[in-house]
Amino acid sequence: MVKEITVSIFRYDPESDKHPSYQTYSVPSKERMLVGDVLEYIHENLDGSLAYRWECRMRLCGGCTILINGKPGLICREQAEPSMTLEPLPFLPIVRDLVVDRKSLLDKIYSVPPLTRQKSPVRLPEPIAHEVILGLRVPRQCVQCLACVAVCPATEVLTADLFLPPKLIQIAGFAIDDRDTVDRVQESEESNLFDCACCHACEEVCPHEINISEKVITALRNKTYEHGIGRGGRYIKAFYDALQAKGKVNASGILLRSQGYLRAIMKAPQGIRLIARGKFVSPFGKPIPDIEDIRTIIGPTEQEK
Amino acid sequence: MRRDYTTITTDVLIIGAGAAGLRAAVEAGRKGVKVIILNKASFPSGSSNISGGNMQASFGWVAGDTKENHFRDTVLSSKYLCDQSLVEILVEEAAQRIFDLEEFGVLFSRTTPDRYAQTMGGGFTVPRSVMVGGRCDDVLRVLYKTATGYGARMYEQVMATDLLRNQDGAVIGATAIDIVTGNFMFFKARSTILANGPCGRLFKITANTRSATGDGFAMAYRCGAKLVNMEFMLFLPLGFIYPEFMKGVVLGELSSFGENTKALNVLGERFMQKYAPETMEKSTRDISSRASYLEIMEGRGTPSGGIIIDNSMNNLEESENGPVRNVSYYRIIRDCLGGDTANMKDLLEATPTALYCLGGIKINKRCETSVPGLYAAGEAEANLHGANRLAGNSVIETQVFGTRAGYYAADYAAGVTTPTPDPVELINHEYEQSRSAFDGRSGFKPIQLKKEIQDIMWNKVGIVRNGEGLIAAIRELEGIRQDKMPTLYLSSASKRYNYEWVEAMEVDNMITVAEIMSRCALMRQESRGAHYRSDFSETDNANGLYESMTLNQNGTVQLSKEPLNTSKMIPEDAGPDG
Repeated sequence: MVKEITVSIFRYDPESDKHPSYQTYSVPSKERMLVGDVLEYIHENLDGSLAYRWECRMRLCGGCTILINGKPGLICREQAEPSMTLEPLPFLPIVRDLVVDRKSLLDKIYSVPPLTRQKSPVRLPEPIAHEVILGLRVPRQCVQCLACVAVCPATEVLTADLFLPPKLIQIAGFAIDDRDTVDRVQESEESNLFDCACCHACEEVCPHEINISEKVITALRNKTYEHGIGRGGRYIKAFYDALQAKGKVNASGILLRSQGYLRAIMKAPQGIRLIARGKFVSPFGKPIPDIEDIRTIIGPTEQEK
Repeated sequence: MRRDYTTITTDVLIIGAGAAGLRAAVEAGRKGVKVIILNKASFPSGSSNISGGNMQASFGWVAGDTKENHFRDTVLSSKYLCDQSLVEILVEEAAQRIFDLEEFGVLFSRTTPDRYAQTMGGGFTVPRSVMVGGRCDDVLRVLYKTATGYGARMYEQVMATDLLRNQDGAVIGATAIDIVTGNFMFFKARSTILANGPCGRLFKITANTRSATGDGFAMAYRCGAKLVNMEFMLFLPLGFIYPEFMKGVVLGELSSFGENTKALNVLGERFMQKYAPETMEKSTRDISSRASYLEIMEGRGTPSGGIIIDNSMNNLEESENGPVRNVSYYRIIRDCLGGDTANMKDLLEATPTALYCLGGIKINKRCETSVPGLYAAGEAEANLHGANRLAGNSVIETQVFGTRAGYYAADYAAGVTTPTPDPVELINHEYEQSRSAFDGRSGFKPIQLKKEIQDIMWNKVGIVRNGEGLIAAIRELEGIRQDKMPTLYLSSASKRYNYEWVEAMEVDNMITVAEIMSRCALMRQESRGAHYRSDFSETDNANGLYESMTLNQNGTVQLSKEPLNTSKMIPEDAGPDG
């Protein structure tokens, strides 16, 4: 008997459907099947009306990312499983079924200014060591497939408008390039560099296996420290000082210290929601009982040194 | 009555958003004209995007690396069928275009800080190809940013359906469908560049992207532009055979795996012994592809329809990414076929695959086609490669001729002073045409016809051809056009991202190009480069040294044999068969 793959697929045409629904298909299973094979089988044999997108099959167009059993993946990369649910990427307007409109996010990512030199290179080829080139190529491997955006907890909390790993990857590509003259520190801070929790979820889904935490986030953060204590540095200091003082971290206090009163006021709606749900912690609470232990572990404050 | 459509006006309209279209956009944008790029897929896309990105240019750093040698290698590889005036431009301007790319921000591999690393390829007299790390997608992103920096605007997922002309016969833009919304659009332009060449999807097995359905050739043909050398289709010997979805994607080059690679048929024979006993697995791509294809077609392929690559005799430690030196290829093989296969401990099954159309739209040095106001660049244009192409000459072609197309199209646009009023009649006609697919209720789905065309082309117009097969192919293609196309129907009436609708329009283009290719192949009664006829297996310099020309004569394909441009190097120069 032929084994079958049961696949449940998100269906929605915003022009004619009131609500999304899920449709189940049975696809004969064979050895070495990608998710793309399952969708192509449906398109050719079962249902030509299902909308999904693919283009290059080499992980270079970034256009075929969907949620496969809740996890973002490229249909040209992920193996088919016996039972699957396929859904469109979150955060984005749905065009139809599995196809989303990526434009709003891609425009933000591509808005990063390109390599900008002080003046055009005088000598060509521009003298640059091959080892340097190898390093510069790492962040340039990103194809904006948006898989990382779909798993990033910072993106989820802040919405994709505010924290986009692929945008920081782009910025990192130019920030580590000595020829570039744009202020990438400011650019990365404005792109909420310090909201990354370094949880590595993005790296698990990156089709090009980019070491985002180290080569992008840490590289950019180190860059900001070179320029003195900016917003990011203040964030870390606030974090550190809070632990020193109270032995625990308090979100509203850190917000005030790191972003200043003006920005904190702009986040007031979020604060009000937290209060409404009983989750707001006052910044004026008492230290934890074992505060001295904490102080021993994390060392003396800047002033004490 | 005016149908519901949107008119968008521009100076230069570029159809196709690969390396050629984007480079044209940069150049036209620099000249201060308004530029619009249409992209059937979403960015980044095109054949350049999935290429290795190697580009040939002569810098004169290595002994023997001269422009003359680049010229000579290219002409010899073309088997004299190229237009030598275009090759002269290529070798002259290649290095400057590489410098341009680096100025825009592309990173080329170095040997020393101020010298590019240059690699060898089949048919090169010296190592000449500069490298971007085995992946070309960054080049496209750099070009895109540069082009948009000059004000160019890209419309993604917008498929051009046809070119429109005014009473004087000049092209005045193109009609298009927005795939996302289904809206009909008219892009009114002073000049138009076709940069949507690839047509690998004519074949059952191809390395090309989903969009590569020959739209540019079909549009050019329909509006009366001359096409040349359309019988020449380049195949690569090594493509994925499974997973089905990956069928045809490039696995690598035989020469890239290692010194001791063996190509075997299902009987375990090193079959290259029969076809090229001297060069064996190191033969050029056309010979290896043909040998594999014949083994498979004659029943000595594996049950999956492929040949076997045995790399077990290679020293696996010799490269940091394992025996497959390109890390992207390595990862794709690892994820699809397993780590042992990627590390070449297991045997690898492979199939030849369609890669590149060597023929295309006839251009002059200014990238002008035979129709006023219409330009072509990249794979859409010809005739730079003749009967066969050197590796690394196609990506540099996008840069050299993309630049020229952009420059001269912008010039032409500046000279067209009066904006033409919308040709409402023509637009309405195109509108009806594009929506006719929705009228069908039963019959054939577009994907069924696509598959039929791909089977015909693979079996009868593929790597090995013969007169009988080609005549049968032409008859079958005509049958599809006359009997089956009118009964096309779509599963859904939705206009939003209805890919069956896109496929219906693609089938129309595919069948046009398939018929042209078959007829040109039938006319060429010899074997030369990528074109191989089992009934005329020799190269015939007495009768074969012509450029095959295709012209649309009131809807029928008119073929002719045109003289070659052999301004610098005449065929006798190099002895028989290069």
